[in-house]
Amino acid sequence: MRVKVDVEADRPSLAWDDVHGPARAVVYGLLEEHDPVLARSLHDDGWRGHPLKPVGVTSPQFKGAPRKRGVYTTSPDGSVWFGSPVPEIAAALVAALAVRTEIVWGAARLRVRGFTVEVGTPAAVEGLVELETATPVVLRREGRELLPDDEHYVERLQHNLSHKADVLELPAPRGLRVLGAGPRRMFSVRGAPRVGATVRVGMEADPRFVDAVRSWGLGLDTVQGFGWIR
Amino acid sequence: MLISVEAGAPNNGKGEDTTARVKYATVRGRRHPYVSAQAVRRWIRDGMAGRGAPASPVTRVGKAQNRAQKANTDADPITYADDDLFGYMRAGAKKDDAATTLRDSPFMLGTLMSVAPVHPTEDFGVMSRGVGEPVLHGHEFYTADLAAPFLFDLPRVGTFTLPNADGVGRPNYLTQEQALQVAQAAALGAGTEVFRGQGAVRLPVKERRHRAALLLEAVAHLHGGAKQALHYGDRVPSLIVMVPFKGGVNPLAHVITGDEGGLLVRGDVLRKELAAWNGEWIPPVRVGWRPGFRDDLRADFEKECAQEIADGTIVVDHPRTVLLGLASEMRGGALDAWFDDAAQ
Repeated sequence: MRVKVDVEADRPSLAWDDVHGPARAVVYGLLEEHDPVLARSLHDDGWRGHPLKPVGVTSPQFKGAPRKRGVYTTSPDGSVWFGSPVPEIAAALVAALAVRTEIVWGAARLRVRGFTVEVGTPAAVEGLVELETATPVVLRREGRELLPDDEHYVERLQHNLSHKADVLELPAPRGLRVLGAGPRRMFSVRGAPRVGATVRVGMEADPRFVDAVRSWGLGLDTVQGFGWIR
Repeated sequence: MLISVEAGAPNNGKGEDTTARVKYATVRGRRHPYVSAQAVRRWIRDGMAGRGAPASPVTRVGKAQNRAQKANTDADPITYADDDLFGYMRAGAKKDDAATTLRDSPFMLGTLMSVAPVHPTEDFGVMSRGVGEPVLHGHEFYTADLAAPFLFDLPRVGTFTLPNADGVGRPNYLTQEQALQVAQAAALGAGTEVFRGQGAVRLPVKERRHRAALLLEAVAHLHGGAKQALHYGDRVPSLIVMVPFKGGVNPLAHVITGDEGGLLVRGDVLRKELAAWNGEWIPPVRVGWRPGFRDDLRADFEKECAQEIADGTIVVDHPRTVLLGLASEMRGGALDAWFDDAAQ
């Protein structure tokens, strides 16, 4: 389940460290408010014996924000997406958001204007599907972060998706291809760099799996706001 | 569905002096007793509660607060199957600017009306046991076959539409109450989809099957109503005809009918309707007929539809067998396709 929270920032721009930096804390903060046990076990142990955390989020995205070189500008028309393919986690996120009037995002305060459950594209059918991300996809191999043109990119993304399919007990997708990529982006997350790029990928997948990754994201660090599917 | 009332008064109207009156409608100058749809819906609701699905709690507001009288359920279709299947309307008070929440009932039922004119009998009674001055009382009762159409919109069971973003710039944000209901639905594994052109949250099909089956099982054990101590009578349909149909048309509207002479069950009408609506319905037509109930009409019906019965297009059995069989097929997942709108 995906939810879109419409927000208004209390400042004209976000510090670069605050674009992706606070995402993880915001997600756990919300989960903790509604279900502290779930939040703790997800944080410490992952989901059902897998280290993966089936949660996705975006950095705050602002429509019509003024373009300013080197500055992450905001506008009154912002949104943050949250999602999870796991019923318990999705329910806790929605329930916590229901009573929120504000999200503290690093140094910024985001006033919640309201939120909606996103109803996806018509139910996917078995077969080829194309997915495009709204935020950069992060993948690593031997400690090095990969970009879509790198040699092992598809292999690592396929590995990541297969692992997610395992966690959800769904069939893994096949025939993964990268169809397009955005520019390289680097964000600092609690002092450490995250490098990636948005991608457009094609694959053959079970519709339930497509639905699930739409609420989770592609690649690593989805709880940090990376790999969210547009 | 047809319920046969044998010397009974399952649904009373407003009493006069010391006499309880049954409800009746006047059709072409003749009296046709009836049982209101509300009463039957109550019996089914009670039946579902009896089968382990707790009913949504009802709160009465009004008189004590010096306001218009209202009785509301919890309006929580995620938790309570009866709120889901029977719908509700909880009107918010205008002065509080409270929102009105409503759900259209996926289960629709007509008034159970006598198929033929009947003149109720007035039973005059005296309570004289141990009292010096006897107490006089009276009540009406009748014997009649009462028939009503019903529709069960299966794709809407466990499907809850979300606010629409219609109108320029109008936000479709969830209210806190709606959001908490969505959270509850999500915890049960609900997914989101577009339903009849509107965004919706839908419970997993397993829960939706369970709820629909529960209603059929409650009808298979139907009982309830007024004056049971004096007249008893279960309310299991003596005759029920069901067909899965695309859309809201009722091709069975004129199959169970009546004239001055009483009940008619028109096999010829059924055959013609089925032919006219070819492609819009899924065989078999399930007919539940209690043994011993109008065996003469049953023989005529089975003769008229011999071909369809032989090839399995029409199945005739005990109403309980038919209803429980259908419920069990539903629970098993064999009829999952019925829980989605048919492609046009």
